[in-house]
Amino acid sequence: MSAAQRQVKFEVSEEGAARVELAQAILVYKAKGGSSFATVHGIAAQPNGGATILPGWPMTAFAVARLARTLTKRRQGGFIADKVLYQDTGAVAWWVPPAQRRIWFRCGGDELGAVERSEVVSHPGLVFCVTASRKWYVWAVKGSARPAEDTPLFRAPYFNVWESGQICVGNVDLPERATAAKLEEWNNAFFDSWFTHPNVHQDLVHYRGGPYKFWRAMLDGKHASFPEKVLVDLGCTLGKVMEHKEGGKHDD
Amino acid sequence: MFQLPTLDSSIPCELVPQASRRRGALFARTLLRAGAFDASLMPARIGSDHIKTCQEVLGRWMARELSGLRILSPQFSMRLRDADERDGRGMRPACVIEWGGQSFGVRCVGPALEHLEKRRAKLGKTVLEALEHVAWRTLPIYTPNIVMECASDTYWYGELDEESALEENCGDDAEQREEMRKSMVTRAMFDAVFPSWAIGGGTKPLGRRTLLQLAAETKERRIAEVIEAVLKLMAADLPNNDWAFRDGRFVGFSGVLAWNTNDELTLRVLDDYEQMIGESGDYFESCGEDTVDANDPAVFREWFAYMRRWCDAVRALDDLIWKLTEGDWPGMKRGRR
Repeated sequence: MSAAQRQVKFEVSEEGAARVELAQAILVYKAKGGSSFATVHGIAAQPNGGATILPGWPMTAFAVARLARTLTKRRQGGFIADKVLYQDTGAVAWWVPPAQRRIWFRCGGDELGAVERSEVVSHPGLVFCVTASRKWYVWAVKGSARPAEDTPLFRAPYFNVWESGQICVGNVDLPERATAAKLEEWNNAFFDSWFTHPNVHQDLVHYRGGPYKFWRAMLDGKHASFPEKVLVDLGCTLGKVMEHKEGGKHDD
Repeated sequence: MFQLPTLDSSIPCELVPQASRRRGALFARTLLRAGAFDASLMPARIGSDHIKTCQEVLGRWMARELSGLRILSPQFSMRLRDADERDGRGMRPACVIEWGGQSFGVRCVGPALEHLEKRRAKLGKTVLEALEHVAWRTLPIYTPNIVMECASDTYWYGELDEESALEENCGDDAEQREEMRKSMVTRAMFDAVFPSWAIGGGTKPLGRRTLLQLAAETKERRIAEVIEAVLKLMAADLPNNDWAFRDGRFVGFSGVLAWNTNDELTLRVLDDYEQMIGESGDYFESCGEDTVDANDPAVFREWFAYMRRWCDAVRALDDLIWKLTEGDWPGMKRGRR
Protein backbone atom coordinates (compact mmCIF):
# COMPACT_ATOMS: atom_id res chain seq x y z
CA MET A 1 0.00 0.00 0.00
CA SER A 2 1.34 3.40 -0.85
CA ALA A 3 0.02 6.91 -1.16
CA ALA A 4 1.35 10.32 -1.98
CA GLN A 5 2.79 12.08 1.03
CA ARG A 6 0.61 14.92 2.28
CA GLN A 7 1.92 18.46 2.24
CA VAL A 8 2.26 20.37 5.47
CA LYS A 9 1.58 24.05 5.00
CA PHE A 10 3.30 26.66 7.17
CA GLU A 11 2.74 30.36 6.64
CA VAL A 12 4.40 33.24 8.46
CA SER A 13 2.96 36.70 7.89
CA GLU A 14 2.96 40.06 9.60
CA GLU A 15 0.60 42.90 10.25
CA GLY A 16 1.62 46.46 9.53
CA ALA A 17 4.77 47.25 7.58
CA ALA A 18 5.44 44.20 5.47
CA ARG A 19 7.09 43.32 2.17
CA VAL A 20 5.55 45.35 -0.62
CA GLU A 21 5.45 44.39 -4.27
CA LEU A 22 5.52 46.69 -7.23
CA ALA A 23 1.89 46.90 -8.28
CA GLN A 24 1.27 50.07 -10.25
CA ALA A 25 3.06 52.96 -11.92
CA ILE A 26 1.90 56.55 -12.19
CA LEU A 27 3.06 58.57 -15.17
CA VAL A 28 2.87 62.33 -14.85
CA TYR A 29 2.53 64.52 -17.95
CA LYS A 30 3.39 68.20 -17.53
CA ALA A 31 2.56 71.07 -19.86
CA LYS A 32 4.83 74.10 -20.20
CA GLY A 33 2.12 76.24 -18.69
CA GLY A 34 2.27 74.29 -15.43
CA SER A 35 -0.81 72.09 -15.77
CA SER A 36 -0.34 68.37 -15.37
CA PHE A 37 -2.10 65.11 -16.00
CA ALA A 38 -1.43 61.68 -14.53
CA THR A 39 -2.22 58.14 -15.60
CA VAL A 40 -2.19 54.94 -13.56
CA HIS A 41 -0.71 51.77 -15.06
CA GLY A 42 -0.56 48.14 -14.10
CA ILE A 43 2.77 46.33 -14.01
CA ALA A 44 3.52 42.99 -15.62
CA ALA A 45 6.45 41.08 -14.21
CA GLN A 46 8.73 39.49 -16.80
CA PRO A 47 10.18 35.99 -16.43
CA ASN A 48 13.70 37.45 -16.52
CA GLY A 49 12.96 39.55 -13.43
CA GLY A 50 12.21 42.81 -15.26
CA ALA A 51 8.85 44.53 -15.42
CA THR A 52 6.73 46.23 -18.08
CA ILE A 53 4.39 49.17 -17.64
CA LEU A 54 1.01 48.23 -19.07
CA PRO A 55 -1.48 50.58 -20.76
CA GLY A 56 -3.08 52.82 -18.17
CA TRP A 57 -6.04 55.00 -17.37
CA PRO A 58 -6.43 58.61 -16.16
CA MET A 59 -5.80 59.20 -12.48
CA THR A 60 -8.71 61.02 -10.83
CA ALA A 61 -8.36 63.59 -8.06
CA PHE A 62 -10.15 61.18 -5.77
CA ALA A 63 -7.57 58.49 -6.53
CA VAL A 64 -4.78 60.98 -5.82
CA ALA A 65 -6.28 61.84 -2.42
CA ARG A 66 -6.79 58.17 -1.57
CA LEU A 67 -3.21 57.35 -2.53
CA ALA A 68 -1.91 60.26 -0.47
CA ARG A 69 -3.84 59.03 2.56
CA THR A 70 -2.47 55.52 2.10
CA LEU A 71 1.10 56.70 1.68
CA THR A 72 1.04 59.03 4.68
CA LYS A 73 -0.84 56.46 6.79
CA ARG A 74 -2.98 59.31 8.05
CA ARG A 75 -6.48 58.84 9.29
CA GLN A 76 -8.98 61.36 8.02
CA GLY A 77 -9.69 62.68 11.48
CA GLY A 78 -9.75 61.86 15.14
CA PHE A 79 -8.98 63.12 18.61
CA ILE A 80 -5.80 65.09 19.07
CA ALA A 81 -3.53 64.05 21.93
CA ASP A 82 -3.36 66.91 24.46
CA LYS A 83 0.44 66.80 24.64
CA VAL A 84 0.97 67.21 20.90
CA LEU A 85 2.30 70.70 20.17
CA TYR A 86 3.04 70.56 16.48
CA GLN A 87 2.44 68.16 13.61
CA ASP A 88 2.97 68.29 9.89
CA THR A 89 4.11 65.80 7.28
CA GLY A 90 7.74 66.26 8.33
CA ALA A 91 7.66 66.22 12.12
CA VAL A 92 5.69 65.79 15.30
CA ALA A 93 6.55 67.61 18.53
CA TRP A 94 5.09 66.99 21.94
CA TRP A 95 5.39 68.22 25.49
CA VAL A 96 6.27 66.25 28.59
CA PRO A 97 5.36 68.34 31.69
CA PRO A 98 7.78 68.56 34.64
CA ALA A 99 7.61 65.32 36.58
CA GLN A 100 9.44 62.85 38.73
CA ARG A 101 10.77 59.95 36.65
CA ARG A 102 13.44 57.33 37.03
CA ILE A 103 16.69 57.98 35.21
CA TRP A 104 19.47 55.50 34.45
CA PHE A 105 23.20 56.26 34.25
CA ARG A 106 26.02 53.98 33.20
CA CYS A 107 29.26 55.98 33.07
CA GLY A 108 32.76 54.58 32.78
CA GLY A 109 34.22 56.33 35.83
CA ASP A 110 33.24 57.14 39.36
CA GLU A 111 31.96 60.68 38.66
CA LEU A 112 28.40 59.86 39.70
CA GLY A 113 29.44 57.87 42.75
CA ALA A 114 29.19 54.49 41.01
CA VAL A 115 29.53 53.13 37.47
CA GLU A 116 25.79 52.48 37.32
CA ARG A 117 23.18 54.56 39.12
CA SER A 118 19.45 54.94 38.89
CA GLU A 119 17.12 57.10 40.97
CA VAL A 120 13.75 58.76 40.66
CA VAL A 121 14.51 62.47 40.20
CA SER A 122 12.72 65.64 39.13
CA HIS A 123 12.84 66.59 35.46
CA PRO A 124 12.04 69.91 33.82
CA GLY A 125 9.31 70.35 31.25
CA LEU A 126 10.54 68.89 27.96
CA VAL A 127 9.68 69.16 24.29
CA PHE A 128 10.44 66.17 22.10
CA CYS A 129 10.38 66.23 18.32
CA VAL A 130 10.69 63.36 15.83
CA THR A 131 11.13 64.13 12.16
CA ALA A 132 10.04 62.05 9.19
CA SER A 133 13.64 60.92 8.80
CA ARG A 134 13.49 59.63 12.41
CA LYS A 135 15.80 62.29 13.84
CA TRP A 136 14.84 62.72 17.44
CA TYR A 137 15.27 65.94 19.41
CA VAL A 138 14.69 67.11 22.96
CA TRP A 139 14.71 70.58 24.53
CA ALA A 140 13.80 71.87 27.97
CA VAL A 141 11.21 74.52 28.83
CA LYS A 142 10.72 76.39 32.09
CA GLY A 143 7.54 76.24 34.12
CA SER A 144 4.64 73.87 33.99
CA ALA A 145 2.51 75.65 31.39
CA ARG A 146 1.91 74.05 28.03
CA PRO A 147 4.52 75.51 25.65
CA ALA A 148 3.40 77.75 22.80
CA GLU A 149 5.03 79.06 19.67
CA ASP A 150 6.82 81.87 21.57
CA THR A 151 8.03 79.72 24.47
CA PRO A 152 11.83 80.04 24.92
CA LEU A 153 13.76 76.81 24.60
CA PHE A 154 16.57 75.67 26.88
CA ARG A 155 19.15 72.97 26.38
CA ALA A 156 17.92 69.59 27.63
CA PRO A 157 20.27 68.94 30.56
CA TYR A 158 20.85 65.30 29.66
CA PHE A 159 23.83 63.21 28.63
CA ASN A 160 23.77 61.72 25.11
CA VAL A 161 22.10 64.78 23.58
CA TRP A 162 23.93 66.88 20.97
CA GLU A 163 24.04 70.67 20.92
CA SER A 164 21.21 70.82 18.40
CA GLY A 165 19.03 68.86 20.79
CA GLN A 166 19.32 65.71 18.67
CA ILE A 167 19.37 62.59 20.81
CA CYS A 168 22.18 60.10 20.29
CA VAL A 169 20.11 56.90 20.14
CA GLY A 170 22.92 54.34 20.11
CA ASN A 171 21.30 50.92 20.40
CA VAL A 172 18.03 52.12 21.95
CA ASP A 173 14.98 50.29 20.58
CA LEU A 174 12.86 53.03 19.05
CA PRO A 175 9.13 52.78 18.33
CA GLU A 176 8.40 52.06 14.67
CA ARG A 177 6.49 55.25 14.00
CA ALA A 178 6.17 58.70 15.47
CA THR A 179 2.43 59.10 15.74
CA ALA A 180 0.35 60.70 18.46
CA ALA A 181 -0.60 57.24 19.71
CA LYS A 182 3.03 56.28 20.26
CA LEU A 183 4.27 59.31 22.21
CA GLU A 184 4.48 57.46 25.52
CA GLU A 185 6.61 54.79 23.86
CA TRP A 186 9.06 57.47 22.72
CA ASN A 187 9.11 58.93 26.24
CA ASN A 188 9.81 55.49 27.65
CA ALA A 189 12.55 54.89 25.09
CA PHE A 190 14.25 58.09 26.28
CA PHE A 191 13.94 57.65 30.02
CA ASP A 192 14.43 53.87 30.11
CA SER A 193 17.75 53.93 28.28
CA TRP A 194 21.18 54.37 29.84
CA PHE A 195 22.71 57.85 29.84
CA THR A 196 26.44 57.27 29.38
CA HIS A 197 28.31 60.53 28.69
CA PRO A 198 27.70 64.21 27.94
CA ASN A 199 27.74 65.02 24.21
CA VAL A 200 27.85 68.75 24.97
CA HIS A 201 31.03 69.54 26.81
CA GLN A 202 30.45 73.20 27.58
CA ASP A 203 27.27 74.65 28.93
CA LEU A 204 25.18 71.53 29.19
CA VAL A 205 24.04 73.02 32.51
CA HIS A 206 24.91 76.12 34.52
CA TYR A 207 26.21 74.28 37.54
CA ARG A 208 29.40 74.66 39.51
CA GLY A 209 31.51 71.60 38.73
CA GLY A 210 29.73 70.81 35.47
CA PRO A 211 27.21 68.18 34.35
CA TYR A 212 28.58 65.22 36.34
CA LYS A 213 28.45 67.21 39.59
CA PHE A 214 24.93 68.32 38.73
CA TRP A 215 23.60 64.83 38.03
CA ARG A 216 25.38 63.41 41.07
CA ALA A 217 23.62 66.04 43.20
CA MET A 218 20.31 65.13 41.56
CA LEU A 219 20.86 61.41 42.13
CA ASP A 220 21.86 62.07 45.74
CA GLY A 221 18.55 63.87 46.25
CA LYS A 222 19.99 67.33 46.85
CA HIS A 223 17.27 69.00 44.76
CA ALA A 224 13.71 67.99 45.57
CA SER A 225 12.39 69.87 42.55
CA PHE A 226 14.26 70.47 39.33
CA PRO A 227 16.46 73.62 39.69
CA GLU A 228 15.44 75.46 36.52
CA LYS A 229 18.19 78.04 37.00
CA VAL A 230 20.71 75.46 35.73
CA LEU A 231 19.05 75.35 32.31
CA VAL A 232 21.04 76.94 29.47
CA ASP A 233 19.07 79.37 27.29
CA LEU A 234 19.29 78.50 23.59
CA GLY A 235 18.15 81.94 22.49
CA CYS A 236 15.34 80.66 20.30
CA THR A 237 11.68 79.84 20.62
CA LEU A 238 9.76 76.66 19.95
CA GLY A 239 8.12 78.29 16.93
CA LYS A 240 11.48 79.22 15.45
CA VAL A 241 12.98 75.78 15.90
CA MET A 242 9.95 74.02 14.43
CA GLU A 243 10.00 76.40 11.51
CA HIS A 244 13.58 75.66 10.62
CA LYS A 245 14.18 72.41 12.42
CA GLU A 246 17.74 73.57 12.44
CA GLY A 247 20.25 70.90 13.22
CA GLY A 248 23.87 70.65 14.10
CA LYS A 249 26.64 68.68 12.47
CA HIS A 250 25.21 65.36 13.63
CA ASP A 251 21.84 65.88 12.02
CA ASP A 252 22.60 64.38 8.63
CA MET B 1 6.35 48.30 -33.71
CA PHE B 2 4.57 49.46 -30.58
CA GLN B 3 6.33 48.32 -27.45
CA LEU B 4 5.26 48.72 -23.85
CA PRO B 5 7.72 50.70 -21.74
CA THR B 6 9.93 48.63 -19.45
CA LEU B 7 11.21 49.58 -16.05
CA ASP B 8 14.89 50.09 -15.60
CA SER B 9 16.51 47.00 -14.11
CA SER B 10 17.66 49.01 -11.09
CA ILE B 11 14.03 49.54 -10.00
CA PRO B 12 13.24 46.78 -7.51
CA CYS B 13 10.00 44.86 -7.98
CA GLU B 14 9.61 44.42 -4.24
CA LEU B 15 10.68 46.28 -1.13
CA VAL B 16 11.09 45.04 2.41
CA PRO B 17 10.61 47.99 4.78
CA GLN B 18 13.15 48.47 7.53
CA ALA B 19 10.52 47.86 10.21
CA SER B 20 9.64 44.55 8.60
CA ARG B 21 13.30 43.52 8.28
CA ARG B 22 13.87 44.38 11.91
CA ARG B 23 10.79 42.47 13.03
CA GLY B 24 11.82 39.51 10.88
CA ALA B 25 15.39 39.56 12.19
CA LEU B 26 14.21 39.64 15.80
CA PHE B 27 11.80 36.79 15.11
CA ALA B 28 14.55 34.75 13.43
CA ARG B 29 16.79 35.35 16.44
CA THR B 30 14.01 34.20 18.78
CA LEU B 31 13.51 31.00 16.77
CA LEU B 32 17.25 30.29 16.74
CA ARG B 33 17.50 30.88 20.47
CA ALA B 34 14.55 28.57 21.03
CA GLY B 35 16.91 25.88 19.76
CA ALA B 36 14.44 23.94 17.62
CA PHE B 37 16.45 24.16 14.41
CA ASP B 38 19.65 22.69 13.11
CA ALA B 39 21.78 23.48 10.07
CA SER B 40 19.94 21.00 7.84
CA LEU B 41 16.78 23.14 8.00
CA MET B 42 18.48 26.34 6.90
CA PRO B 43 18.12 27.46 3.29
CA ALA B 44 21.31 27.42 1.24
CA ARG B 45 20.94 31.11 0.37
CA ILE B 46 19.30 33.42 2.84
CA GLY B 47 17.46 36.33 1.25
CA SER B 48 16.78 39.77 2.61
CA ASP B 49 13.22 38.93 3.64
CA HIS B 50 13.75 37.37 7.07
CA ILE B 51 10.05 36.59 7.52
CA LYS B 52 10.19 34.50 4.34
CA THR B 53 13.31 32.71 5.63
CA CYS B 54 11.57 31.99 8.95
CA GLN B 55 8.60 30.58 7.05
CA GLU B 56 10.87 28.34 5.00
CA VAL B 57 12.70 27.00 8.05
CA LEU B 58 9.50 26.48 10.06
CA GLY B 59 7.94 24.70 7.10
CA ARG B 60 10.91 22.35 6.84
CA TRP B 61 10.86 21.71 10.59
CA MET B 62 7.18 20.85 10.51
CA ALA B 63 7.56 18.70 7.39
CA ARG B 64 10.31 16.76 9.17
CA GLU B 65 8.23 16.28 12.30
CA LEU B 66 5.22 15.19 10.23
CA SER B 67 6.95 13.20 7.54
CA GLY B 68 5.05 10.32 5.98
CA LEU B 69 1.48 11.58 6.45
CA ARG B 70 -0.87 9.89 3.97
CA ILE B 71 -4.30 11.17 5.00
CA LEU B 72 -4.06 14.30 7.13
CA SER B 73 -2.88 17.70 5.89
CA PRO B 74 -2.08 19.95 8.84
CA GLN B 75 -1.50 23.64 8.30
CA PHE B 76 0.04 26.30 10.49
CA SER B 77 0.23 30.03 10.50
CA MET B 78 2.16 32.55 12.54
CA ARG B 79 1.16 36.20 12.33
CA LEU B 80 3.48 38.82 13.76
CA ARG B 81 1.97 42.01 15.08
CA ASP B 82 2.56 44.78 17.57
CA ALA B 83 1.21 43.87 20.99
CA ASP B 84 -1.72 45.75 22.47
CA GLU B 85 -0.37 45.74 25.97
CA ARG B 86 2.55 47.54 27.48
CA ASP B 87 5.09 45.88 29.68
CA GLY B 88 6.47 49.12 31.03
CA ARG B 89 9.41 49.33 28.61
CA GLY B 90 7.68 49.81 25.31
CA MET B 91 5.57 47.55 23.15
CA ARG B 92 6.50 43.89 22.75
CA PRO B 93 5.69 42.31 19.40
CA ALA B 94 3.32 39.40 19.55
CA CYS B 95 2.99 36.27 17.46
CA VAL B 96 -0.44 34.77 16.87
CA ILE B 97 -0.06 31.05 16.17
CA GLU B 98 -2.90 29.07 14.65
CA TRP B 99 -3.05 25.50 13.45
CA GLY B 100 -5.60 23.20 11.91
CA GLY B 101 -6.06 20.80 9.02
CA GLN B 102 -7.36 20.71 5.48
CA SER B 103 -10.10 18.19 4.92
CA PHE B 104 -9.15 14.83 3.44
CA GLY B 105 -12.72 14.41 2.23
CA VAL B 106 -14.79 11.32 3.00
CA ARG B 107 -13.41 7.86 3.84
CA CYS B 108 -15.30 4.77 5.00
CA VAL B 109 -14.41 3.27 8.32
CA GLY B 110 -17.35 0.89 8.89
CA PRO B 111 -16.12 -2.31 7.17
CA ALA B 112 -12.83 -2.29 9.11
CA LEU B 113 -14.44 -1.52 12.46
CA GLU B 114 -17.21 -4.05 12.02
CA HIS B 115 -14.64 -6.69 11.11
CA LEU B 116 -12.63 -5.89 14.24
CA GLU B 117 -15.76 -6.00 16.36
CA LYS B 118 -16.70 -9.37 14.85
CA ARG B 119 -13.27 -10.79 15.67
CA ARG B 120 -13.39 -9.56 19.25
CA ALA B 121 -16.30 -7.81 20.96
CA LYS B 122 -15.52 -4.18 21.82
CA LEU B 123 -12.41 -4.08 19.63
CA GLY B 124 -14.08 -1.90 16.96
CA LYS B 125 -15.50 0.36 19.65
CA THR B 126 -12.09 0.65 21.34
CA VAL B 127 -10.40 1.65 18.10
CA LEU B 128 -13.07 4.23 17.29
CA GLU B 129 -12.94 5.76 20.76
CA ALA B 130 -9.13 5.99 20.73
CA LEU B 131 -9.31 7.67 17.34
CA GLU B 132 -11.90 10.18 18.54
CA HIS B 133 -9.98 10.85 21.75
CA VAL B 134 -6.75 11.83 19.99
CA ALA B 135 -8.48 13.56 17.08
CA TRP B 136 -10.17 15.99 19.51
CA ARG B 137 -6.71 16.83 20.89
CA THR B 138 -5.06 17.25 17.49
CA LEU B 139 -7.14 17.41 14.30
CA PRO B 140 -10.84 16.72 14.91
CA ILE B 141 -12.58 14.43 12.42
CA TYR B 142 -16.27 13.77 11.89
CA THR B 143 -17.03 10.32 13.32
CA PRO B 144 -20.47 8.68 13.78
CA ASN B 145 -20.75 10.01 17.32
CA ILE B 146 -20.04 13.58 16.25
CA VAL B 147 -22.37 13.29 13.26
CA MET B 148 -25.16 12.29 15.63
CA GLU B 149 -24.38 15.29 17.85
CA CYS B 150 -24.65 17.46 14.72
CA ALA B 151 -28.04 15.91 13.96
CA SER B 152 -29.12 16.59 17.51
CA ASP B 153 -28.11 20.26 17.12
CA THR B 154 -29.58 20.66 13.66
CA TYR B 155 -32.89 18.80 13.89
CA TRP B 156 -33.62 17.50 17.38
CA TYR B 157 -33.35 20.58 19.59
CA GLY B 158 -30.30 19.10 21.33
CA GLU B 159 -32.10 15.85 22.25
CA LEU B 160 -31.13 12.26 21.46
CA ASP B 161 -34.00 11.79 18.99
CA GLU B 162 -36.62 13.73 17.06
CA GLU B 163 -39.51 13.44 19.56
CA SER B 164 -39.09 16.88 21.16
CA ALA B 165 -38.86 18.54 17.75
CA LEU B 166 -42.05 16.77 16.65
CA GLU B 167 -43.79 17.76 19.86
CA GLU B 168 -42.73 21.35 19.46
CA ASN B 169 -43.83 21.60 15.84
CA CYS B 170 -46.89 19.35 15.64
CA GLY B 171 -48.20 18.93 19.17
CA ASP B 172 -50.63 16.00 19.35
CA ASP B 173 -51.50 15.95 15.67
CA ALA B 174 -50.46 12.37 14.84
CA GLU B 175 -50.82 12.82 11.12
CA GLN B 176 -48.71 15.93 11.02
CA ARG B 177 -46.08 14.28 13.25
CA GLU B 178 -45.73 11.35 10.85
CA GLU B 179 -45.57 13.70 7.90
CA MET B 180 -42.75 15.65 9.54
CA ARG B 181 -40.95 12.53 10.68
CA LYS B 182 -40.87 11.29 7.09
CA SER B 183 -39.27 14.49 5.89
CA MET B 184 -36.53 14.76 8.51
CA VAL B 185 -33.48 12.93 9.77
CA THR B 186 -34.56 10.56 12.53
CA ARG B 187 -32.88 8.52 15.19
CA ALA B 188 -34.09 5.38 13.40
CA MET B 189 -31.96 6.34 10.40
CA PHE B 190 -28.87 6.36 12.61
CA ASP B 191 -29.79 3.01 14.07
CA ALA B 192 -30.13 1.64 10.55
CA VAL B 193 -26.72 2.86 9.37
CA PHE B 194 -24.54 2.49 12.46
CA PRO B 195 -24.17 -0.36 14.94
CA SER B 196 -25.17 0.76 18.42
CA TRP B 197 -21.58 0.56 19.75
CA ALA B 198 -20.48 3.17 17.20
CA ILE B 199 -22.93 5.86 18.35
CA GLY B 200 -23.62 5.06 21.97
CA GLY B 201 -21.65 5.37 25.21
CA GLY B 202 -22.15 2.06 26.94
CA THR B 203 -19.42 -0.30 27.98
CA LYS B 204 -15.81 0.44 28.78
CA PRO B 205 -13.36 -0.03 25.93
CA LEU B 206 -10.66 -2.69 26.01
CA GLY B 207 -7.55 -1.92 28.00
CA ARG B 208 -3.94 -1.79 26.85
CA ARG B 209 -3.08 -5.22 28.27
CA THR B 210 -5.98 -6.88 26.46
CA LEU B 211 -4.98 -5.17 23.23
CA LEU B 212 -1.39 -6.41 23.56
CA GLN B 213 -2.68 -9.91 24.15
CA LEU B 214 -4.99 -9.71 21.13
CA ALA B 215 -2.18 -8.46 18.92
CA ALA B 216 0.00 -11.35 20.02
CA GLU B 217 -2.70 -13.97 19.49
CA THR B 218 -4.38 -12.87 16.26
CA LYS B 219 -3.54 -14.67 13.04
CA GLU B 220 -4.71 -11.71 10.91
CA ARG B 221 -1.80 -9.42 10.15
CA ARG B 222 -4.08 -6.45 9.48
CA ILE B 223 -5.75 -6.73 12.86
CA ALA B 224 -2.36 -6.88 14.55
CA GLU B 225 -1.30 -3.78 12.62
CA VAL B 226 -4.42 -1.86 13.58
CA ILE B 227 -3.95 -2.80 17.25
CA GLU B 228 -0.34 -1.69 17.07
CA ALA B 229 -1.46 1.65 15.60
CA VAL B 230 -4.10 2.06 18.30
CA LEU B 231 -1.56 1.37 21.04
CA LYS B 232 0.67 4.10 19.60
CA LEU B 233 -2.30 6.43 19.56
CA MET B 234 -3.19 5.62 23.16
CA ALA B 235 0.39 6.44 24.18
CA ALA B 236 -0.02 10.02 22.94
CA ASP B 237 0.24 12.29 25.91
CA LEU B 238 -1.67 15.44 25.05
CA PRO B 239 -3.76 17.74 27.21
CA ASN B 240 -7.42 18.15 26.40
CA ASN B 241 -8.21 21.02 24.07
CA ASP B 242 -10.31 23.54 25.91
CA TRP B 243 -12.89 24.31 23.24
CA ALA B 244 -15.18 26.09 25.65
CA PHE B 245 -13.20 29.34 25.66
CA ARG B 246 -13.53 29.78 21.88
CA ASP B 247 -16.43 31.79 20.53
CA GLY B 248 -18.84 29.99 18.21
CA ARG B 249 -18.79 26.42 16.94
CA PHE B 250 -15.87 24.56 15.51
CA VAL B 251 -16.18 23.64 11.83
CA GLY B 252 -12.55 23.04 10.86
CA PHE B 253 -12.83 19.24 10.78
CA SER B 254 -10.02 17.44 8.97
CA GLY B 255 -12.30 15.00 7.20
CA VAL B 256 -15.34 12.75 7.41
CA LEU B 257 -15.31 9.11 8.49
CA ALA B 258 -18.54 7.83 6.98
CA TRP B 259 -19.63 4.29 7.78
CA ASN B 260 -19.79 2.66 4.36
CA THR B 261 -20.50 3.46 0.75
CA ASN B 262 -24.26 3.31 1.41
CA ASP B 263 -23.99 5.87 4.19
CA GLU B 264 -25.83 8.84 2.72
CA LEU B 265 -26.98 9.90 6.16
CA THR B 266 -23.60 11.24 7.28
CA LEU B 267 -23.24 13.57 4.33
CA ARG B 268 -26.87 14.73 4.54
CA VAL B 269 -26.50 15.62 8.21
CA LEU B 270 -23.17 17.37 7.73
CA ASP B 271 -24.46 19.36 4.76
CA ASP B 272 -27.39 20.62 6.82
CA TYR B 273 -25.26 21.21 9.92
CA GLU B 274 -22.59 23.22 8.11
CA GLN B 275 -25.26 25.18 6.27
CA MET B 276 -26.88 26.07 9.61
CA ILE B 277 -23.56 27.09 11.20
CA GLY B 278 -22.51 29.01 8.09
CA GLU B 279 -25.73 31.02 8.17
CA SER B 280 -25.28 31.82 11.85
CA GLY B 281 -21.78 33.16 11.11
CA ASP B 282 -20.77 32.05 14.57
CA TYR B 283 -17.97 29.58 13.96
CA PHE B 284 -14.20 29.10 13.92
CA GLU B 285 -11.95 26.81 11.92
CA SER B 286 -8.56 26.61 13.60
CA CYS B 287 -7.93 23.70 15.99
CA GLY B 288 -5.44 25.60 18.10
CA GLU B 289 -4.70 29.24 18.73
CA ASP B 290 -2.11 30.90 20.89
CA THR B 291 -0.77 34.44 21.21
CA VAL B 292 2.78 34.60 22.50
CA ASP B 293 5.62 37.09 22.90
CA ALA B 294 7.41 37.02 19.53
CA ASN B 295 10.74 37.82 21.17
CA ASP B 296 10.71 35.26 23.97
CA PRO B 297 12.72 32.12 23.09
CA ALA B 298 11.46 30.27 26.20
CA VAL B 299 7.86 30.51 25.01
CA PHE B 300 8.77 29.11 21.61
CA ARG B 301 10.92 26.37 23.15
CA GLU B 302 7.83 25.29 25.06
CA TRP B 303 5.65 25.51 21.94
CA PHE B 304 8.06 23.43 19.86
CA ALA B 305 8.23 20.81 22.64
CA TYR B 306 4.42 20.67 22.72
CA MET B 307 4.21 20.48 18.92
CA ARG B 308 6.65 17.55 18.82
CA ARG B 309 4.20 15.58 20.98
CA TRP B 310 1.32 16.89 18.87
CA CYS B 311 3.07 15.77 15.68
CA ASP B 312 3.75 12.30 17.12
CA ALA B 313 0.05 11.99 17.88
CA VAL B 314 -0.95 13.26 14.41
CA ARG B 315 1.35 10.71 12.74
CA ALA B 316 -0.19 7.92 14.82
CA LEU B 317 -3.71 9.17 14.00
CA ASP B 318 -2.89 9.35 10.30
CA ASP B 319 -1.48 5.82 10.36
CA LEU B 320 -4.59 4.43 12.05
CA ILE B 321 -7.01 6.14 9.65
CA TRP B 322 -4.95 4.85 6.74
CA LYS B 323 -5.05 1.29 8.07
CA LEU B 324 -8.81 1.43 8.69
CA THR B 325 -9.83 2.98 5.40
CA GLU B 326 -7.36 1.67 2.85
CA GLY B 327 -7.50 -1.69 1.13
CA ASP B 328 -10.39 -4.14 1.00
CA TRP B 329 -11.71 -5.02 4.39
CA PRO B 330 -14.38 -7.76 4.42
CA GLY B 331 -17.70 -6.22 3.50
CA MET B 332 -16.11 -3.40 1.56
CA LYS B 333 -17.08 -3.19 -2.07
CA ARG B 334 -13.99 -3.70 -4.17
CA GLY B 335 -12.72 -0.76 -6.09
CA ARG B 336 -14.79 1.75 -4.16
CA ARG B 337 -14.34 3.69 -1.00
